[in-house]
Amino acid sequence: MSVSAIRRLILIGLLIAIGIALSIANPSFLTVDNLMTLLQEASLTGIVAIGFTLILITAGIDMSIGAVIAITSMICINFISYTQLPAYIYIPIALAMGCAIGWVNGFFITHFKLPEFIVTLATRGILAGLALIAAVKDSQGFVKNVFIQDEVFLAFGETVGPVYIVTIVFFVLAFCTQFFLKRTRAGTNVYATGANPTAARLSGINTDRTLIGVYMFSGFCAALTSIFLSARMMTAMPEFGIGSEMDVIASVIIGGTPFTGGVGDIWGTVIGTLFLALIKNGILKLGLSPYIQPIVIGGIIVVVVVLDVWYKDFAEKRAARSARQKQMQSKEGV
Amino acid sequence: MTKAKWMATFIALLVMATGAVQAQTAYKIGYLPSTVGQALTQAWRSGIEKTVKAQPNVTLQALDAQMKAEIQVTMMDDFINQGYNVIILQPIDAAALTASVKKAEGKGIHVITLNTDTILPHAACVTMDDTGAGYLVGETIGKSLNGKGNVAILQSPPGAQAGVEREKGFRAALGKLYPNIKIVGAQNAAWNKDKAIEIMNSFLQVNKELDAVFAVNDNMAEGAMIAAESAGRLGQIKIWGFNGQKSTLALIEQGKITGTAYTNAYSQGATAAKYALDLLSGAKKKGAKTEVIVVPPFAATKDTVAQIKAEDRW
Amino acid sequence: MNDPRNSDVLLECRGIDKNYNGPMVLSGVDFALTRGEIHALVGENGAGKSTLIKIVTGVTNRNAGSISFDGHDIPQEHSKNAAEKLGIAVIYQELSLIHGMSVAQNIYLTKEPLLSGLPIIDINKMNTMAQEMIDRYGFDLKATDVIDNLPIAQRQTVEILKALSNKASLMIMDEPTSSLTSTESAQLFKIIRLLKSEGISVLYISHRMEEVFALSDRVTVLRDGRKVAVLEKEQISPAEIIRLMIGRILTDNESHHQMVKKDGEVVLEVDKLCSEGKLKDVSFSVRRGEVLGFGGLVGSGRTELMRAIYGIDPFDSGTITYLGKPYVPTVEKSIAGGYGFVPEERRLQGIMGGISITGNIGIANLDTISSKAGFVSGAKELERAQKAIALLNVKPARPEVLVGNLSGGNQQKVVVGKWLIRDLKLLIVDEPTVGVDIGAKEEMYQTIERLSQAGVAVIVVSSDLPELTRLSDRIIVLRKGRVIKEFVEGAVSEEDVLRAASGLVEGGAQ
Repeated sequence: MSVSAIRRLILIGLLIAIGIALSIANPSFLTVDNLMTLLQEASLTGIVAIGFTLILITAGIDMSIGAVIAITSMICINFISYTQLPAYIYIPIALAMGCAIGWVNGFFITHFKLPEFIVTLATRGILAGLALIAAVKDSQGFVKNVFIQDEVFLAFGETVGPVYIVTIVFFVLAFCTQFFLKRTRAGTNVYATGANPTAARLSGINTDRTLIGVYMFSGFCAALTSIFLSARMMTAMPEFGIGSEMDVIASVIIGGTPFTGGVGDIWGTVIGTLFLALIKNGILKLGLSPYIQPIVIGGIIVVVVVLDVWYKDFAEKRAARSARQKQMQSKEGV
Repeated sequence: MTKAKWMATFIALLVMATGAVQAQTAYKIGYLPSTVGQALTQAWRSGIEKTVKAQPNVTLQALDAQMKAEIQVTMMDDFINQGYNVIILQPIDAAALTASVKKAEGKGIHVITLNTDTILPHAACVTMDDTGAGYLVGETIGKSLNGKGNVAILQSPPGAQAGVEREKGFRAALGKLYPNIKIVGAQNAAWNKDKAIEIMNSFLQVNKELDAVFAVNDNMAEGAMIAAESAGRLGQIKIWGFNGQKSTLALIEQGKITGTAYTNAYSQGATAAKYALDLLSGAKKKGAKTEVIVVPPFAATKDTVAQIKAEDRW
Repeated sequence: MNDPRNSDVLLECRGIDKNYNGPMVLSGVDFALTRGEIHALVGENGAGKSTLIKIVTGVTNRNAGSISFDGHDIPQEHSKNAAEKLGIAVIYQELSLIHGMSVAQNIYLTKEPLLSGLPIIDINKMNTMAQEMIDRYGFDLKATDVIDNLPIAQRQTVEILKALSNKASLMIMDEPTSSLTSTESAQLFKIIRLLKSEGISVLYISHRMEEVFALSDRVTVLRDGRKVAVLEKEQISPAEIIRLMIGRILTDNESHHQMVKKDGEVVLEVDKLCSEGKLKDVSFSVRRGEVLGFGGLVGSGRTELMRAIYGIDPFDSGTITYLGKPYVPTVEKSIAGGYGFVPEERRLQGIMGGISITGNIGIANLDTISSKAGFVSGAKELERAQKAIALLNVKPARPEVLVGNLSGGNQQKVVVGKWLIRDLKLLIVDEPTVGVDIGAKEEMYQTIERLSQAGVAVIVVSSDLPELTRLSDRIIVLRKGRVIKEFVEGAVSEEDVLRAASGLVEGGAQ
């Protein structure tokens, strides 16, 4: 079995173990309501995390995701407050806006050869500021968080049976993205670009186009999340999403996609997202102070990363050893 | 143990755990302020605790929303899923928490809000009179400046209803009664002392003549005081806060802060808790509209601060 | 056009000129390669081999001359993609393979077979196609193997398969055996002959003469940017090629350098040093005031040996004696004990470009410029820097200049200068003059000579043969991690060293 498969099984095992422990500790854990809320929470982080996984596979980083959530939710709320346009017009506009921001990120990264971190940190700052400017104000100029009553828009926060729509979208998107990565040429290009950009270019891959596409997808995922988040809260706030980057990064890292590029997949991220949501829910269920939550999450990341590095080292040594043995055998053969 | 036995034990444990909950007749009250790390929310909590402690079948659980609406919504969901009976909530944002409040009320969970009302009706809102108190501060400052001078405002974060109401009341008083008083600056110090020092410093640099500052909470007033003191201009500037926390009252006694709009947060918390218990015992019934209970403000200055008793200081 | 082989010319270059804003790297080079031949391109470092390859593959553009490939004229504005489309493939060491992907994925990258009518990769078909190709050539590979788990030699095979899948008619291999074992090399030669039998031409670049002799149908020799000769199969002989490569008809006096026996006390003694896959039973010693040269080809283990005795990399077995005492090197101990080390890749390992001369020199000498409490004395640091600048004639002689802004030669001086101002007992210099102009080269030689006269033991690693013979009192030649030859006394010529390094000495040939 491959390293990543073992790692994944361990995570799933832990997921189940923690779930069992929690249902024993607090009976309200194992209720449909709670599990569906947990999945809803996970999905809101998870959709962004799917886009972020692709970014990490290309060895990049996108710090602007939180701010994209903020600005797109402001775009929606402006349409809702000041126009009579129906949701099926302004929602696509908001999603397109997310893609456009991703395009700008990608353009600056590829065209001017700027570091991803710096470009997206800059867009993050700019967008966070713009979100405040774009926020709906009352007559005296104070930010007013509008209560959304658009039925079509609010439908995004509803459930089908007991399952929230956002959860369904999350899993469908995860499936599609995984399929895209593994079974299409463009998906293969994403891995190649991250694993070895020089080699990818030598093989005829347009790495710039691949990168721009990936950042656009990340922007799209963030914009999509903003709609579900606004529908859930029935309002939009200019600080929506700001600071959520850390949860997204944590989910993806726990899921087994490293920062080094070329490696990773969506199922890992799905598991990572569920894992993180479970931990957060567990902290509430155990009545622990929410202040220990970042400590626990930080601790988990450190443990996961240390184990990954340790295991990778081990696997590399093993591979080198078997390669040498193979060599010896062929020598004896000659 | 065989696998089957293991499973059986596990299922039995689960059943016992769920059964235990059904057997309970106790009530659960959740307290969910914007953050637990402030004098005001701590005072509310002790007011609530004192009232609830008398009831052996009621337990109280507090959570910390860390000043983020998304987190507060998540925690509301958690209270709802755990089947709490009453939630005492200080909404971070009126609009953002409305959906949660609606969901709770829909499941028969009573919600009592503190200071910030939400848009759809719920059991009750126990609030300081933000607009009225803001007006009171404006009136008092205007009078002490004889209707002329430069004033600055330390604001709350955009969209924070309570802070906005206070500021609106303040501006209304000046605009109506003292049109010659100029508001030379208004910036968001995020309810926060450090941030207030920083912003107050910039106010002091830009405005050589600054006569008064209104901070929409006491923390920020204390920050403004520190900045003014280190600039050597404390004597020339009247500083007003809001809430009336213990440390600010002491500073008023020392003459460093001019005044604050004091509300008895203990009794506000206790009022909310009493209302919750009444709902549980059936002494009160939930109406079609939110019952609004206003806790009146009191302008605490050097002359009047002595009237606030030690046990009412929080 | 009398030669019958020319009737089927695949690649023809005529009068190629190239300069990189400076001296001519190639001038008037003619070069022709026929279909299905194995053609070796040889020459000393800097003879222009790589430049010629870059021009043919479209990595860089020529200044003058014409190229035709397979009947097409290649325009001056050539590009890598255009070259690939024409069927020119370069087999890189492992540069163009994507880690984490399977053999099949790598072979068919960007041209994966799709399910009919859908933009979806047909993985089964891709694996089958790859496996068919692997089996047709009889390689020991599985299409589903992940690249990361393959040894270098097999990765190279994947590169070749990738080129084959592109329908390449010319494969260019640049030093393909430099990191292969002899068995793996033999395997590669089999593949190359197989390619030839399929009608594919191979342009082969190597320093290893025995490979050139064994494989090539023809050899083109370049020297100083000019074509010197084209040898036909029957004309190829080691002595002839080496003579052509070095070029100058040297008188004995000029070409033979007298090795000098020094009898100072032994500074460093290495006994049977082994490091798996890198070094095998390496023993040598170096004395006070002696310059010991290390020759050998790239990948012969010279750099690895230097890193091991300096304490950067651990070794498996063997002993080191330093100043008469057993010594297990670590970098800290080595520096404190009077070692100096000027590494091979200056930019990566030797200098910090964004820091001033003073800072660069200070960092290696923190122990001498800081107080016991650990505070650095700015005055002392500056004084050291000025001393080093004066000692080595660094230009500009301003300690505050950022090292990144200096010329290559002056950067090198700073790297050496870091060590000069210490109480040095042993200085190791790895390729001291790569990328350095002639004037600075001469200064560097004088510095090394001054140091040895002052009693420092110096170890010089160099691929530049004139440099090696000029500087060294004694030369050890490494090959595949072993000491293959030691020139202790008497006259040594560049040719002797090259022969040993190429494996043409007694016991060295495989």
